[in-house]
Amino acid sequence: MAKRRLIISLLAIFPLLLGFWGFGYIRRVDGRNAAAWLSFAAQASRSMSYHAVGSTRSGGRQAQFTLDQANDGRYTIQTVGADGKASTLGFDGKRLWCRTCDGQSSIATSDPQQLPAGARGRIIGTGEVAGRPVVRLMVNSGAAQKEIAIDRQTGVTLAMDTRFHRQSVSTMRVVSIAYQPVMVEGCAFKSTSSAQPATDPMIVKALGLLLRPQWLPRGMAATGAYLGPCSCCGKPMASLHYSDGVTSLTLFEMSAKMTCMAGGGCQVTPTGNMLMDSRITRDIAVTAVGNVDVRTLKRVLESLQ
Amino acid sequence: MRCPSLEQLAAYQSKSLTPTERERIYQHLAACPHCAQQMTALDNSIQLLQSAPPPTVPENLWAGVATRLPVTPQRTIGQWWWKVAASSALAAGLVLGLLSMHQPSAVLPVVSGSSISYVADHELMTAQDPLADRAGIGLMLASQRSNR
Repeated sequence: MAKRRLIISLLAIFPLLLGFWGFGYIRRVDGRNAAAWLSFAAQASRSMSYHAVGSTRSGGRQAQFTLDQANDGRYTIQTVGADGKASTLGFDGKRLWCRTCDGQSSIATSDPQQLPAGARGRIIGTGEVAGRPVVRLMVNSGAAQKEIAIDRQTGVTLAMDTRFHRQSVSTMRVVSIAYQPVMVEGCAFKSTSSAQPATDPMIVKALGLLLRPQWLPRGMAATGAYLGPCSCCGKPMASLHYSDGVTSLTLFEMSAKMTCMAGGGCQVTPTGNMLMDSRITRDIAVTAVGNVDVRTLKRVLESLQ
Repeated sequence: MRCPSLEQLAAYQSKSLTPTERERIYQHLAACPHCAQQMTALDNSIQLLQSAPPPTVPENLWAGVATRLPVTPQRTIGQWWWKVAASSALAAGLVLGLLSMHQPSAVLPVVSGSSISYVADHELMTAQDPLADRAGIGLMLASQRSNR
């Protein structure tokens, strides 16, 4: 009798737990469900004009940042660490560029990517960040997880906690924000490293072959393909970028005859939030980097054709 | 009428008989001196018991009785909810256990040397992802490039 009741209890508890967990997916705040909020945030964070100041922590380092975002997608974000090291990341409408104390690089790219259709999240509550009412969402994808706070009136992301294997790898929190027209400076320096958007025939012409993964994690889609010199040896290298809005993966491909590809099997980045692995397939050396788990990374590399 | 039994007389005395039986015994008592004498003795006994002081109960009486009673589980709401809570904890533990299986089991070597450039390039491309933490990416890029 007692066993029977225990089994009945378990059968009753599982739907309850699933229901509690699933409630976040159907819950609505201001008439929007989680998917609608994510879509709103992905669009608004790049189409609103604002100046924001905040703090960030990544890889055990703290920094202050100022973000100037124009309503045409251009932005500059200046980060100054507690150790005095600074970087500026920007998008001028044509090129995404990064300038640090000891170098600069850029990549020609199109407008900010759209949120893939597979991106799903759940509403976990509401609150306030930088004096603004926010809705809080949790977005999961494989080993990566993001908790984001979205301004309920504008859709701008005001706080974000990124986790990898449930360990916090970076946090961002806006302290103050002013919605106003913002002028964003262009890229006024000569790049030492650059990559251009490339079509498949362009990559095949440069490398002799292009390998594409035949398997990708659910929801992940190609968001860009680029061709540029390898920053290590200067030889042609293709970069194929994939994303599902939370996790992202880049495949770097170059001829195995001129390779300087990363060796040593699967490795973790110093910040602990990404993995890297390499292999040679049909005379093409491929290095994969992304915030996916080991099994996913290997499966993607094994599916290359 | 035959003489009523002692039980019938006691029932008559406690007024627990039907009116017909009561009337029959009343008439019998009036005609039978033997039964009338028994009835008087019964009345005296009852009066004597009623006038006696109430018996005193030993203090350890219930303790002695309780130890001899068989132990039977009592089903209460509290116990039921304890089972529900235990089941919930078991279910939650099972779910967490399944989730923890996704964690890497081995300690991986850290990316170093020229390979870090791949990470930096990937970070730069990630900045255009719709839900990217651009402040965090800027900080990582500053850190990685200064370590090269």
